[in-house]
Amino acid sequence: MQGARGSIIIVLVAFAILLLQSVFSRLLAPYPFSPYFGLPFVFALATAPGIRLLRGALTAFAIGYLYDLFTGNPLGLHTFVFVVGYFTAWLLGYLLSFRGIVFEMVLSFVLTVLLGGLLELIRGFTPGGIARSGGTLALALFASAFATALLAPILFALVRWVDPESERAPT
Amino acid sequence: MNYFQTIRDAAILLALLIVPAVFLRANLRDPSELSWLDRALLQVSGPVQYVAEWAADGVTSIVEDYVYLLDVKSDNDHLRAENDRLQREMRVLRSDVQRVRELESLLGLRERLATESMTARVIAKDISPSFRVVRLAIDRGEQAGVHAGMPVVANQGLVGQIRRVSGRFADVLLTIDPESRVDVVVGESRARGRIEGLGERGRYRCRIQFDRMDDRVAVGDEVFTSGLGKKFPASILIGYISKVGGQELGLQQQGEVTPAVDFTRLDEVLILTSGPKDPGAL
Repeated sequence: MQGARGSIIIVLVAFAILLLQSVFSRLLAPYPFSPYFGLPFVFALATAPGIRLLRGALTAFAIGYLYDLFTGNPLGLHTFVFVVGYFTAWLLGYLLSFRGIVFEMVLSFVLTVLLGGLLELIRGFTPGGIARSGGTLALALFASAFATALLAPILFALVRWVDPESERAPT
Repeated sequence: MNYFQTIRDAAILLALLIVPAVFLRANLRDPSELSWLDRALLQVSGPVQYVAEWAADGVTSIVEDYVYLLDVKSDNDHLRAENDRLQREMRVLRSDVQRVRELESLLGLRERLATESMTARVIAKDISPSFRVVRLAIDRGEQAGVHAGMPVVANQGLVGQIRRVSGRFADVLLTIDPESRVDVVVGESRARGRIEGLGERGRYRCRIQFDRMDDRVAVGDEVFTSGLGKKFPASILIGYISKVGGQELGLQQQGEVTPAVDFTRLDEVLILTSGPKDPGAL
């Protein structure tokens, strides 16, 4: 029950972060350095020792669904990418033992590049979707991943602050 | 965790991956190529999505309105500051325009008087309790070659004469001062006389005494300097007769003159530094 409440709070905070992202993009227009605010949330869930795999995946699903609703993308796009991102980060977290700010930033950078590429790939199949050139796409992906990696430690810390249980190793 | 729970969790995890993929596939396909499964999925998800999007649009519009209001506030602050700056500049420019007009006017006066003169700025005014100017100080003094007795004029007419000078400043004896005496002539009748200040603290007035009892003067007649005694150039306007009548021992006709100069508004004056060369009308 405690875990479910923590997940709901995380989803609500992720929703607030989504709104913040919209305001941030509108006010600062940082393209191509536009960070993904939602992805580090999912990575933090995946690498937190106190969050069970199923609970984390459900939370990532809910956050992805909210992103789909609020970004006007085809239903399922962010949901799918966030769940894939969750499983990938969980697997990397399971295989790698070191943690810390550097881990959070590197993980966020690498996975944001990969998941951003996946998002663009799926968008390429959308009827009427606008295809971007390779150079533009690569610049946008790496710049976004860089900005996301810079923000990642803050968002990881936010998840730990919102759900202190996430830090406790399962007994 | 028992075996059943493990299977259940694995099934849910798989569903979490497959369900969005299936929905995504249905959403991405061309509507003309939808299979019965795609159509069924869209039928199920459609109403849910409609309600969720309605809520999402509401929240988004609130957030966007807020951001828009932030922009408006920022624009307002910017425009208010700009407006304040322009208002300040406009006040300065209006003041400059006024000063330029006064200087132009004095320049014209200088050319008409055809005497040597210098401009001076009024730097101090002594004000009576009834808000009348009783003394002026100007920013020209001994260093500029100013001496006591030099006439001081403004565009409207005679202001007075230099009373005393110090290094860089001078005091002006106004025509309304009781110590001031000026020989005058009345415009059309050419009646001659003298005016002296009444020194009244509540109004600007001079007393005029005519040389002859039978001079025909009327209220509103213009009073000019006569040029007698060479102290003031002739034909400088002093003011207008505002009252006629009253006799002193039955020998002289008296009246009152209202100065043409508004001493309250004086900012720039002209000091006549040499005697009259070619007296002209003011």
